[in-house]
Amino acid sequence: MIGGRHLRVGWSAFNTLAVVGRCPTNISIRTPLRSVFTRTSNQNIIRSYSKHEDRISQSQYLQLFHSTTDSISEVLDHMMDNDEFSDFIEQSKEDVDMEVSDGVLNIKAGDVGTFVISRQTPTKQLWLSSPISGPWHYTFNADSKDWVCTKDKENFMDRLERELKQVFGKDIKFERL
Amino acid sequence: MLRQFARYSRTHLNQTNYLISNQTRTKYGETLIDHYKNPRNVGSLDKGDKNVGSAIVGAPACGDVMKFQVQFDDNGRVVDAKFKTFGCGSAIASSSVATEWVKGKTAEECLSITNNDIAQHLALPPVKKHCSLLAESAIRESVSNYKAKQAPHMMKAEN
Repeated sequence: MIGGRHLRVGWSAFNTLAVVGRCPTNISIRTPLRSVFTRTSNQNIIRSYSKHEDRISQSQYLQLFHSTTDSISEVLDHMMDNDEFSDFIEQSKEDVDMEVSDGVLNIKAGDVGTFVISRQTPTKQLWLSSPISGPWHYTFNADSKDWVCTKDKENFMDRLERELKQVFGKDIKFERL
Repeated sequence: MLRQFARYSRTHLNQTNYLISNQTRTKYGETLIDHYKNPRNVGSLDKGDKNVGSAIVGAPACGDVMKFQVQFDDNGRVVDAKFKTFGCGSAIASSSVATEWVKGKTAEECLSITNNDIAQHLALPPVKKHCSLLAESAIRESVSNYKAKQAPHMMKAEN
């Protein structure tokens, strides 16, 4: 129902724009649709966003996902620059490495294994694959402003911090959203 | 990709250990490739049978859908299990292993199979561990479907 309403708003607005002829030529069809849509029903989005985490839009989801991975890679980058993992590397004889490709964050923790943080856009979930505890799926919860596990309701950052501490023996704190 | 890799591994990979260690990103274990190329227990069981528990897990949008069915005998042990999976090689192999493992087990024993057991058995690469999670929830949901069928009057009373 909601999808239908949005579509109608978008299309009628777009038709008006097209008739009036104010649509800038360098903007694709999608851009005016989306900007009109957010302008007219911004309040609705914010309201539904705070009430139902499953109703966050695709772009909001991607934004949240990227700021999550950014905050993680920032902290780990900083630690790597300061050689904070040298004890661990000496012990495991393998390097600590981090790689972001196509929005997927890989943290290679020597002989322990690889943490993979990937996005699952169709379900708006964040997926964590941990070498210690296996795979976990998270959906965003607007109340706690964190990704919450679909299985045990634990926050994503809490689990990641705990498991990285277990691996590296260091307190690691990530900035919350 | 998996099939290509399997062909590649037959011709090149087994010759030198050096190559294998350099291929960690695309390396799939032999067990996984075996289950992918010769999947066990593909097919369907009678959905209407009261001794058959069925489940469909995964979302078509995500690219992985798994249909999983378990048939119990009168003593409450699994006598047959079938699956049909649309998805990646790891998902196919995970469900294939799952059908093998549930056979002969009771409902409770089936539920004790974890994604980590499957992932370890198939030596799934980190990013593919989610496929084993899908197989685990397929087992869970098919068993709970069977349990619901076994106690329909109790379900009605609860509702």
